[in-house]
Amino acid sequence: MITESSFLVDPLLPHLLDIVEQPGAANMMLTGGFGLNLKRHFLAENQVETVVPRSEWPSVRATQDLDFILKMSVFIDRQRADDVANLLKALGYQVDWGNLQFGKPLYDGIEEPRLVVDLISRMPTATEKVKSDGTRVGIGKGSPVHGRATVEAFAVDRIPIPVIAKGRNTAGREVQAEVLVPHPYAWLQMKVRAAHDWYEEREGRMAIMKKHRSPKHCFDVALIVAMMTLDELQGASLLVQEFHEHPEAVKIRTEAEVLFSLPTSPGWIEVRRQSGRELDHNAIWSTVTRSLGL
Amino acid sequence: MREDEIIGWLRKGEFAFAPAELRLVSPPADTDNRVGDGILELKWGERSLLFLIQVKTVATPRAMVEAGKQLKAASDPLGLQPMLIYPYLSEERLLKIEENGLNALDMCGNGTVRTSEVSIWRSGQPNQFKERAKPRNPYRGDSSVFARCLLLREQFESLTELREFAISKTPLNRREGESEGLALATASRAVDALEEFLVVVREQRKIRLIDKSTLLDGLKKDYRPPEGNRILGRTSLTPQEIWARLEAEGATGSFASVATGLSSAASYRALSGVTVLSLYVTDLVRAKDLIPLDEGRAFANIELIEERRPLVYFDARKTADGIWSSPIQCWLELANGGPRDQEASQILLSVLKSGNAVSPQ
Repeated sequence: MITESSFLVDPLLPHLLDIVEQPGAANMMLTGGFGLNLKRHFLAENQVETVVPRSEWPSVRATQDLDFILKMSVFIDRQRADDVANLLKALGYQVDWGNLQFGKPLYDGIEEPRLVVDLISRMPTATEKVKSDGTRVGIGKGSPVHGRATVEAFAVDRIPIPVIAKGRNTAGREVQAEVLVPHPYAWLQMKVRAAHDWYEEREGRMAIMKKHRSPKHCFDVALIVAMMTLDELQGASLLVQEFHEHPEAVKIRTEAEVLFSLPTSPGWIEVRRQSGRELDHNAIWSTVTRSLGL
Repeated sequence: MREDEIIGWLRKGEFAFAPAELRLVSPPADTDNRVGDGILELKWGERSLLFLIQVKTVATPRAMVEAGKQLKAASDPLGLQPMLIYPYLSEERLLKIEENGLNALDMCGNGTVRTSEVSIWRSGQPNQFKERAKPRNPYRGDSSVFARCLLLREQFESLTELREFAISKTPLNRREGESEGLALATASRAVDALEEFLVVVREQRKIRLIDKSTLLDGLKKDYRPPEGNRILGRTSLTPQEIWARLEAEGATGSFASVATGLSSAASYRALSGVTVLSLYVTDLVRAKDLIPLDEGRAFANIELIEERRPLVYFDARKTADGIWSSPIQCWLELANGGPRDQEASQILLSVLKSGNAVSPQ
């Protein structure tokens, strides 16, 4: 039988497998476009029931970068930081920026363009005693890896979702490894915020970045919700209670309402534009309200 | 509109460029200069400046630069500023003029004047005149094959060599031994237009690319996806079986197929997550006979798009796994796609800009 994931070869999967088969990868959680892509394939292969039936999912594409969230323990235990850095070094990645962006040539013999690994982190709590300058987490003590400080990733450690990545690594060897992706509650926080930043920039209320903020995050919000399972929906209820008063969660609930509450809301218009099909707004929005505690 | 008509307008003072006032002094009293069409006085408050003007009706970049050079050479010895005058100047043209350190006005109220004493910029007034004989668009349709050739090789000894290169890279034409769509006249018009846009220069018979960025911008801006009939569905064949059937049919000499740019993006390691194998085929009925499929959107894994013109087959790359679009076609489809596609297009754009060769895997 031809499965969805085996029909076409994916260029990023071998590089992911190179990383996640290493012990040091236990400190890393996959997020970003390829995280969504991997979860989609995993659910499709296992025919798991989701909010929107699988036949209706729009395809999710990913550019050539791998986004990993580092566990806070990486910044507490130096050995773990060394493990992550050594893992990347052994695979040929070099520091491209600030010990939190690593890269290597995408094509043999040409330095640019690069295959990029981005390291991200939630903000440390006061009791964790991890240093952050607001841009990077884990600074000081000469740590070989930092995480891009992400205030909206506050819930990312909670109830991560295991998925299986399998295929051939870059050496052509069959690999099967468990990869953690964020719980949809945590993922939605990050994606709603990113989508809202795009909207604010578009409306002229936020400084324009050299690299424009992307409307792709609106589509990702819809996809995260479309692929939610019943277990995840129940888990979201617990996280809603746990983080209900978190200042970022409060703001993000408002941002979600601005972007997606109506079929004519700016974020939903982007979802329609990018998905190339009519998604059920009522099904998606009602799940967003439940998942974020609106 | 003719040049003498414009001069007539200037004489009558039917020419506005607020807040400045304009008055023609003609002919120049103290020169036998034959380049200028007169001296124009520009008054702004207490300031008065004199310009040697040249009226022109063709505002292609090359014509503008040439006219500007001649006018500057004539105006400098007279201690006058040079100024070009056209029926209409778009903002893009005004920027080009400014880039070249020239002044220009049009008859619609647009213009740029930059001297040590005044600085005026006005744009956005609509075109009230139609341009004469616009050059052929070298970035669209079959003509764009020649522009694409210049991304693969930046210099050709002659127009004939360029055309032969284009044909050699386009399997449809090579196989049929004819050149439908890639005629020498088409090549000539495309190169003329590229020369007008200052993208290539002709040095005797040689054609040489001089502005790759503008060429890439033009191709991207004027790209139009094929609009032929298409079928989306699900097949139980493996990709290997699909390609084996298509390649066998291609060997008959009257059929061609290639993966679309989007479906080729993974083979160039630019994009992940494309789950539908989308193919351009020259004959949809034959392709459908070769690849049995259940039509419909749900769980679709194959799409067939009929395209008979040579453009999408240009520079197709064959590997053991299939036939993939040129990196140029791949870049154009991504650059005109959704947000993630556009991000991925940057990978191929950097490769095309650098001139490095990449091969599909």
